Amino acid sequence: MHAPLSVVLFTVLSGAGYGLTVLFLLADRLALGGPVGGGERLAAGLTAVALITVGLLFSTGHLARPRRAWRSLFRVRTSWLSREAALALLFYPVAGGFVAAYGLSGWAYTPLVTALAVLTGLLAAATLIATGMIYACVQAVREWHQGLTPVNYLVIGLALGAGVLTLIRAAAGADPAPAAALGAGLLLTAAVTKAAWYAWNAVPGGAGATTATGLSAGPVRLLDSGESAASFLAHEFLHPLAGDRRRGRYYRGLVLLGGFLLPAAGLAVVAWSGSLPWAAAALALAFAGALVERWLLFAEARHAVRLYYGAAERL
Amino acid sequence: MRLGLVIDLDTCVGCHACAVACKQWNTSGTLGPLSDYEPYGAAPSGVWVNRVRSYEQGQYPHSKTVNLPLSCMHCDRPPCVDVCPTGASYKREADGVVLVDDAKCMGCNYCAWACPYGARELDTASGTMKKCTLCIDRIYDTRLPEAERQPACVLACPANARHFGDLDDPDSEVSRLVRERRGYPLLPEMGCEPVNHYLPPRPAAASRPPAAAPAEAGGQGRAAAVQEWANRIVRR
Ligand code: SF4
Ligand code: SF4
Repeated sequence: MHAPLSVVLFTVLSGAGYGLTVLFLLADRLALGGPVGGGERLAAGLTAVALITVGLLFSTGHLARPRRAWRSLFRVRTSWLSREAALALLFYPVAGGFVAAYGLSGWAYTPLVTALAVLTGLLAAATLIATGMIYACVQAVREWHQGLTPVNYLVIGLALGAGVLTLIRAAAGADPAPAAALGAGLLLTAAVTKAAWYAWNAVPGGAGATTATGLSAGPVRLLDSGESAASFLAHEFLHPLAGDRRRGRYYRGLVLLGGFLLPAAGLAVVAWSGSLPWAAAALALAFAGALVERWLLFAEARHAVRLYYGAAERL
Repeated sequence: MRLGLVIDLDTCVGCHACAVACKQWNTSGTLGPLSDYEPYGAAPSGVWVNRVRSYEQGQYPHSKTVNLPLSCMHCDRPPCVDVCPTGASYKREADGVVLVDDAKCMGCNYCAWACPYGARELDTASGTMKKCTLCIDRIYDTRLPEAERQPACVLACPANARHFGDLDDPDSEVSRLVRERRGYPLLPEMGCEPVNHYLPPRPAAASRPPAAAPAEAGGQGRAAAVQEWANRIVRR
């Protein structure tokens, strides 16, 4: 499928922001790697809000009529896209309430502050899962329609957040080891769940040209698509990479190795040495890996429409 | 009531008349313009909500050309409606027709992803999603003669390959056709429960004229002579 840049950037950036929110709250509450200072709190808070907000602004770039985006807040009963939008919007007042209560209590965790922190973290995680469910519920795309899809969105978002937190802690001179260790663990988890996701996609199966056309008396071959030039459908659903499993393997390896395992090793070094440059390098690599992973999620996706264009005998 | 189409793949000749009639009617109907991109350029393209594709089934010489017109199936369980975040996509309770409210659609493309049939196309000029309306602005129009209260594609088909009716009513013409000709839905495994059905092509032998008995020399007089003469002219 066509990979919209706006959606790729949105899911990676906002995902990292929500992940950072969850992990920062954890680190702050449990004082992982020593108590968190005021400057660090400000840096983490601003970074998280900036990542989330910039990502959300990117997401509107995918809409042909962005000024109607407000309408997407009300179909939460059926649509995961609507749920994601509503959760993302709800996040702001709740997170704001947490910060206000936290500040008013003199930066101490009173029961109210703790409750708001938990709610903020849950909302962030729920938004990540809702983003994943947008894809997982689409049965027409075999790759997306599996339980691991939202898991990957959650784990990768959290891993990127841990990477950002490591950088902030290291830059502030605090001990980045716990955050780095968490990040390394999350990246390894992402490598495992994403590898399983890829493995499931390699299993033959799914719909075929026979059921797509109902012509069962022999192999079905497209003679004429009836189009004078590439239509919306061809542009949207016929990405060349979708049929090219071998070229896809190269990018899948790149994601698993360069996007997850190498930065995990980098964060392991940080956990051991506390080095700031290593933290920055690992984070940059993890972000680049996530961007490729998100692009590949579209480019490799085999939508059922391909069957009608003779692009495949089977999905 | 479940209104829909039954399309006969045995008689469809792949002339694209339905697609052109659809484009003509709907581009000036309630659906609003079906925009064209570069209509007079090198690569003309545009929005069509009914497309005809041609396939070859089997291996030559045991092959058959089958033309497959495809438009929205007005599914009973339409994923496109479920995923729509704005409520622009909806399915009518009364007759099951799936429509898009052009005033609400934000052009997010999500419904096009969710539809396994490629029945929805984003109009980049209007920024909204376009799809088959089953000619909702024809079929209930009492100013039209009753015989014309049918989708434009059905009226245009010169091979009478398209049939419109209520698939909930077991006595309707479309239900009878589906029953007698073993009509089937496309991609049933996607679970959308399409209302539209397709009638399979008859076996190759059934659609060929019976082989003529070898003509005896001068056997049938003038008729045979004309036939042989014609055969000689069109020989490849
Ligand atoms: S054919 Fe596609 S657009 Fe039409 S109702 Fe079914 S899923 Fe929706
Ligand atoms: S493109 Fe329009 S109709 Fe389709 S899901 Fe988005 S808002 Fe709904």
